[in-house]
Amino acid sequence: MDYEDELSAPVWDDQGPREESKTEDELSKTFANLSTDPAVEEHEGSTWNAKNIEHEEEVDEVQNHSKNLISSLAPEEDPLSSLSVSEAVRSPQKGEALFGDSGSAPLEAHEDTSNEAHETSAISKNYTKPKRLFSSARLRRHPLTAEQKKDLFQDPLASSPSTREEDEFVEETLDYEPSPERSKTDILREVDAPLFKVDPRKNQSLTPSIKKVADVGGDETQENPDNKLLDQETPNNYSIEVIDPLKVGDLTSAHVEYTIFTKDKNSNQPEFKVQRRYRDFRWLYRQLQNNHWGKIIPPPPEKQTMGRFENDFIENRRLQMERMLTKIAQDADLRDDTDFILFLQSNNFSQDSKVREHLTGSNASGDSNDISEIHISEIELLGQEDAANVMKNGGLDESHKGFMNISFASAPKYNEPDSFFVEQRQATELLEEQLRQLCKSLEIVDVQRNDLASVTEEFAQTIKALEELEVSKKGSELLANFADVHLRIKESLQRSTLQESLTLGITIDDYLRSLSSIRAVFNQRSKLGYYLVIVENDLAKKQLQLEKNSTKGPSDKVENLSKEVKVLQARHIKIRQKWQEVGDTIRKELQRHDRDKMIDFRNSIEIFLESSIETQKECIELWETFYQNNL
Amino acid sequence: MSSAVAYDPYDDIDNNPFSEPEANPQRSVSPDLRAPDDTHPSIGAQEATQGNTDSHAGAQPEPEQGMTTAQHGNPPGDFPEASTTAAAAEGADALLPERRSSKFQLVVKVTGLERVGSFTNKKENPTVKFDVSTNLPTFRKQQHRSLKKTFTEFRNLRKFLYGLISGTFVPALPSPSTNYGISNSEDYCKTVSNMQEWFDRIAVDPFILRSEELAFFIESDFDTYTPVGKTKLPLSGLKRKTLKQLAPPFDECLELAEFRPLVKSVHHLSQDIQTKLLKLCKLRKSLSHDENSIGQGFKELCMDQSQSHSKFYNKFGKTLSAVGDIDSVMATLDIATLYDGLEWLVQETYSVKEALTNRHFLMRDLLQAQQTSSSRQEQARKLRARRDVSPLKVDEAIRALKAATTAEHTLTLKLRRVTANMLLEKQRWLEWCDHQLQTSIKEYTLRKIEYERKKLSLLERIRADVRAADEAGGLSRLGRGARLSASGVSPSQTAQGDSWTSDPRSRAFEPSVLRTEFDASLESDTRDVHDTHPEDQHALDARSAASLLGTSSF
Repeated sequence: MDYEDELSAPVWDDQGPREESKTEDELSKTFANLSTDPAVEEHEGSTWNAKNIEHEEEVDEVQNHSKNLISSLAPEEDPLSSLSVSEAVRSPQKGEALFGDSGSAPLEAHEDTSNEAHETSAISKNYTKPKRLFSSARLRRHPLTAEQKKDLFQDPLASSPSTREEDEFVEETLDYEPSPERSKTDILREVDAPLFKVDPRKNQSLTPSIKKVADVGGDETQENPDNKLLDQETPNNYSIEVIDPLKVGDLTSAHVEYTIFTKDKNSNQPEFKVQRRYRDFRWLYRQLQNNHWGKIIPPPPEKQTMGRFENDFIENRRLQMERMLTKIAQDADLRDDTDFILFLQSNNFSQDSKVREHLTGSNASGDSNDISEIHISEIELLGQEDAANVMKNGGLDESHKGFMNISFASAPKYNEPDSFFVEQRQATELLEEQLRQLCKSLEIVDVQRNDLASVTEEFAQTIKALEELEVSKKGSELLANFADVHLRIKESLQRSTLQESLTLGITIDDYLRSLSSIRAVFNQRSKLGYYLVIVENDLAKKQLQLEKNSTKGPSDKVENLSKEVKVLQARHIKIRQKWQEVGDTIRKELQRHDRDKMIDFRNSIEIFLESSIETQKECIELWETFYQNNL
Repeated sequence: MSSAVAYDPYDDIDNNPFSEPEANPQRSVSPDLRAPDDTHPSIGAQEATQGNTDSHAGAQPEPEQGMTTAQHGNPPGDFPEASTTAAAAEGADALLPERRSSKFQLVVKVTGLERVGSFTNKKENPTVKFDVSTNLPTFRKQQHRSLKKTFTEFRNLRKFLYGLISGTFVPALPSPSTNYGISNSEDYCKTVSNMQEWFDRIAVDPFILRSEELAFFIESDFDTYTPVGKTKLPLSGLKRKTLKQLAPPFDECLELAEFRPLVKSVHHLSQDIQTKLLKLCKLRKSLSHDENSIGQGFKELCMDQSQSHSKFYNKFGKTLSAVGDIDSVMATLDIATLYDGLEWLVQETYSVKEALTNRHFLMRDLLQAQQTSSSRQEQARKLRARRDVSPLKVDEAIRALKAATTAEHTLTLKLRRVTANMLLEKQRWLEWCDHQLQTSIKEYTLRKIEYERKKLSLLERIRADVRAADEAGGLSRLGRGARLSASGVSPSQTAQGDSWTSDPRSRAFEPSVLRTEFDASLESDTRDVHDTHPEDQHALDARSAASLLGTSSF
């Protein structure tokens, strides 16, 4: 019953695309189709090469009228066509939604595969059979976009492994090395693919309750306009590990250093090994936050003052930081950030980081505990020169303050004009509250489970003591086994508790922290908005002064004022632009984040459920065995 | 005690040459008066005097001798030392004529249980209904139908029997209510079967059967029984407590000597287990409460989480809550099965232990009596040696000696009967103890299996939803999709056995495990939305209600 193995091992297993999850009758249906087709194939065998060329030529036509193509390409091989066309008519949207999802594969991949395609199609003549069968079937079934069709015609062999990889394993940093055998089987899978796309529906319609939920899920993917955007993520080439936590320093400056081991498949210098401490991770977070306004940065773990050197804590933190880095590496923008690269590669980090910090004005090391708190760098906002001016006067928000830092007018207030952000912010806060509650209950349950385990052990010990009295032989045997069962249940309880905190607990914890990261993003927007209001105010004031003074005729003062107004106007435009940009980024990011988190969450729920089912089975088995042997 | 004396074969012994018609009853009391002095000597001294007596018995050419050899030639210490049960049984046969025949029968059938009145009365003092059929001569008629007795009466009877019959382990009463909680069928069945078991145990004990008290109890009217006459324990109160502190007297019967500490530790350990179990269940209950709150947390999550999954979260949350509820049910059942089973065991071990303590007191009494009689003999010898002795004094001495010897005989015999009976009883009791333990563990296990299975089926029911919520995610992503989707939809427990093992189950599959008490709450999510509407339609606002009430109806 080593379900930990079962659960963890297949994570690295990149076999098993979706097609496997189909029922057998569908398979047999496919095979039936397959078996009819070879006859046709033989019939046409001699003319095959010629036809193959035809294919290539007709690609352009295909784009225009697919129905024409069907008849011209496969006139007599049509045991399927009537059937499948009707099917396509019957449920076009369903199939499209599903297929479109996997079909809208990364653009880069298409280019790659098209290059390979020409070579492979020429070499592997025996692969062409399935190709033809496959492509025609697919064509008939789904009214595809021109681009997709083209792709499919060119070579399913080459394109299939790569597209699959990218679709399905975006969030994992795995090594994908499709073996030749695999690509072969993939062709076969591809052959089956179109038929299968319909299957999940049929399957689920068996149980109405499932269908409800599933359909809802399907609708979501259909409606989501940002699918493409989200799928655009290319597989990241980094594989990052945080390893070897080591306690260094003397009593006053004791801290733990982690080794970060990076493998970069693209760069010419493929491996890096650097030492970083927790503080540096926070620096990275702040720095990235500063460099990418509006982006939700994967957050570092929380600060903790007590018990920093306990093994559990260090291990936990290590894991969280590894997740953070991995997540950053998955994001195309963040991945190429100079500060991130600096973080991964610099050997003189304490110096470099300070330089960068000063350069960007990120105030990254003046780090507050709260992840959601932000600092808006003037340099980033206004550019080098203007920022220097502003800094001289003590920052943007200082300008409206009067003499001796006492503000006479009440500070201008920023009201978010876009209700989207207000709502999102509220929703985030609500969600955070709920998750916090959930997290707390989980923690309590965790503690109580552990208590339960220890009390179970005590209980078993007492039973053992009674057994040792040997009141009667049979009785003591029974008691010994009874105690044994309890001990084993205790073990299983401990394991499941650990499992739970590793799946649900960590996911929720992650979720919570990324929510504060979201709040940070909102803070950025409102802070920018606040600056905007301040600058607007100043601008208005200065303009008023200018008007007043200009009525009196030109003078030095007027000139000065008009200069100032110009500066302010430029500033205003800049800030407004940034403000809007941030808003847009936030929108996109939120959508992406919601989706990512949802997937994460669902996955962990599933793992949690599976593991509790396994535990349950183990428990039943224990009791059943006990019953059978002793009672 | 009356029964024990009634069958004393030495009761009518009158072969003492010194025997005379009892003239002075005060004399015979005298050893009793002296008794307190004799309790004090240490064990070594007692044994010395015992040895003395033996040598004297051998040396003295008294007519009394026949009796003393009868007494000492086969003292209780002779057989138990190396005794097998068979030997004990043989000796017991002679000693315990009641055991020889089983012509007397008492068949009790408990037919029902009534819980009426206030809560405590319901709980502590239910009324047991039963039918009796017997051929005991103590009963006025053979058949009694639908008798009713309150639990208090049972308690009185048991207490009385326990005082009356010292040689047997009077079974302890089961607890009047179970932890299933009163007023449900499980509690009813369990209590009735417990009472039935108690009656069965009473009915096999020949001493209890022969006691008149049982007949009095059964034939008295409902709620009127009080023990006829007072029996009291050999010792009670402070004295008992003090004497229990002393080292137990030397026990010739090793089996019983070892039995008491065993019973005592069983008693303590059972209590220990009980407390641990209670703690466990308390923890489990609070755990279930928190599991509930997790479920609640998930339910709340659905309120604003992207709406498409709200149903899923709701369902998942509800399932978690239901699983938590099952945990709480399990905690209750744990208490009801194992705790209650152990509770009876604890009561029982206590009463057995006390019975064994009583035997110790009996042994002490015997030692005293032996001392008294030896000192009397000494006195008589001295008197005989003297020339000028008043016949009055001789008479007195002889009478005292006779009384002391009789007392000693009585006690010796009694002790032997008690020992023999207890050896038999011990065997039976151990069997019962085993059986009791096994039954409660069995019940516990069965319940456990039932509810763990229910939990599993609950979890498996949500599994399909979890998987359907995310086609590309979860385990299908891990390449396990094909394997699990086949088994995931159908429950893994069926009449054909469990999917995860090929072992056949010894018991038949109960389809009930696929349903739980909480199904209703799981399904209700779709309905409750609609349910509110008709309510609203008929709801009255204050104004219209007032106008309705205000219109005159006359």
